[in-house]
Amino acid sequence: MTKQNIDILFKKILKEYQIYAPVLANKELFVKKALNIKEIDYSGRIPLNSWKQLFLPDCETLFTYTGNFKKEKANYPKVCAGNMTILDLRALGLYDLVFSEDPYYQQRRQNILVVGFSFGAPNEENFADWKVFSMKLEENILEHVPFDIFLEKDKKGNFKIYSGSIKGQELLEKYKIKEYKNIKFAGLIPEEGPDKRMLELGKSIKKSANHPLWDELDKICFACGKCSLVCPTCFCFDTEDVPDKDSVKRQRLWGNCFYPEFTAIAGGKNYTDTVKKKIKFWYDHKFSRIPAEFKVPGCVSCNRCTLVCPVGIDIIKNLNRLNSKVTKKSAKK
Amino acid sequence: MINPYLPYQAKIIKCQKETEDVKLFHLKFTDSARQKRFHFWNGQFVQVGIPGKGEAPINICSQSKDSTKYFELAIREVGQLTKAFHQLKAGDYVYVRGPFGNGWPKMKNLPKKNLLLVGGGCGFIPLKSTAEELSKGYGKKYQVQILYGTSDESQLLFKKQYKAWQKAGIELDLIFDKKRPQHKTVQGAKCGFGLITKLFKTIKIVKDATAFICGPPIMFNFVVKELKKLRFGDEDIYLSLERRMTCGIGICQHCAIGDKYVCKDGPVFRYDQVNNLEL
Repeated sequence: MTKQNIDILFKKILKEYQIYAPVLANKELFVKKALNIKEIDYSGRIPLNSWKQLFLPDCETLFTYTGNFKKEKANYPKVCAGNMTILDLRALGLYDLVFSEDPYYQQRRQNILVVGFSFGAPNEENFADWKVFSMKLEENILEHVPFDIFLEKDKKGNFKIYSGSIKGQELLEKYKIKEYKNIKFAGLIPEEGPDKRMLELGKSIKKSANHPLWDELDKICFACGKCSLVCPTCFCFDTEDVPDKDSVKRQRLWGNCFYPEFTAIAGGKNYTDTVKKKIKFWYDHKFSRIPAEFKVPGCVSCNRCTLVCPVGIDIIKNLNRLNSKVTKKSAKK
Repeated sequence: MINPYLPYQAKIIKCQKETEDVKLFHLKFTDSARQKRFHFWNGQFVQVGIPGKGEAPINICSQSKDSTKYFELAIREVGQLTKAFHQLKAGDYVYVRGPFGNGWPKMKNLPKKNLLLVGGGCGFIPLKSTAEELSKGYGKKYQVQILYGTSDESQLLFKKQYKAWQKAGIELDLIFDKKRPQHKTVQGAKCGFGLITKLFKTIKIVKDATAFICGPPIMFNFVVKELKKLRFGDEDIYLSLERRMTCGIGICQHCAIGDKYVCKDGPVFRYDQVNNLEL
């Protein structure tokens, strides 16, 4: 398949769907609505913002109250999430697990066409930077990420197409594309079992309460919450009742565990009242809670948090420190 | 698909003042079929809300055996929502989701059948349903002791029931940490002055028992220390924890501690599940 074939595919998709894709703006890559298919980026780089806005909007109305709570009738638009990298597809796989019983997520998700993309893995030039704490990307990685259609670009610029769902397959057939391979999604966990690095890291974090790292971070972190804003696996939320004319709307909004009220209860007690506690809480979500519940890493190694941190907190370095310290200690024993 | 965020209307049948800032609400779902399907276990909680004021997790404090008929919530006026709650009267409506979480263990599953309940302040509320249930004969079969600490006598909750509990063989010891008691006993229960841990030095504590504890976080550590001295094992101690909650089903992250969610894995935890966490 040539790039031209892929352009034709997206042109057809654009007739049915709004396309969101990595788009270059001011030399930076962002997930944005692509107005025409020429804007879609094929570098394989990770966009600075995550895709979560498409799947879990920053504000949505859950109910309208007029004497009783009624679920908001929403028209979920047909959206194509175009050229999501493997790492962002892993985050999507996690949403599918976490929000499996959330009717709002499920209904929105049904109307989203997921098109994955890889050019090397996840990006030829800098993959070495990621390997440090990421899961290793197995040869059969495509069996372990959700997608409808997947585009694989090789060094010569040729493409291979895969379908990963009935929806994807039907669409490719409809568009008269015959040259594709079917992949059966086998869940996020690889055949050999949960990622070993993840399990090790989980143990290290559990024992890390007295690690000097947390005190060091306490001194430099502003608790600005930017890391959480761009993190694809930060999906926590608040709800808020908003009075309207004769009704009340109960809305769901993005939460941020770095913000002051996140764990505060009526009466004044705040369980994460120091920066140190907030950061630990954030790490616990990714490296303790998600692995404990779903047996998959709660961090997809996209490195966005490091890129946006105003004081240069580097998640890879921190995790390596947490891990190595424990290894040394256990070696002494 | 069931909508886990959908609250159901419930009517306030009765409400009575327990203390200056705590009211006891007796509630019933408007839809009687929903009430008939409503099953909870002692120590579980519901998310209760008022349109425009949001929701908050509140422990159910009536007995589980009555769950299909009604349920009770004792609510302390402490924030915006609970302030609005206190202005409601019988006949008004609130909106309820749940029940959520894991409650206290069932007596039949406990290896140590004697029971020690330790409650501090509003932490006594989640222990009420257990105390009531134990007063239905359990206290004659096994030793049951309740230690209950508040700032002063005026803060005591559920006073009307103390006599019935004691009659059923339950030993009830009260202690106040702000104002000295004016009487030697309240409703037949002995009163002391000091922190709740003082009781461990001044009275005989039930042996070979399981302990249920609920109170402010600072109380946990001190009470657990005293229990350890008396050779209570980690697996003989249960705690009910309080946290901010939004969803009630382990997604929103507000109630997380370490690798646990208070809403889903708790609010009642066996001590060995949480002894490495900052409570």
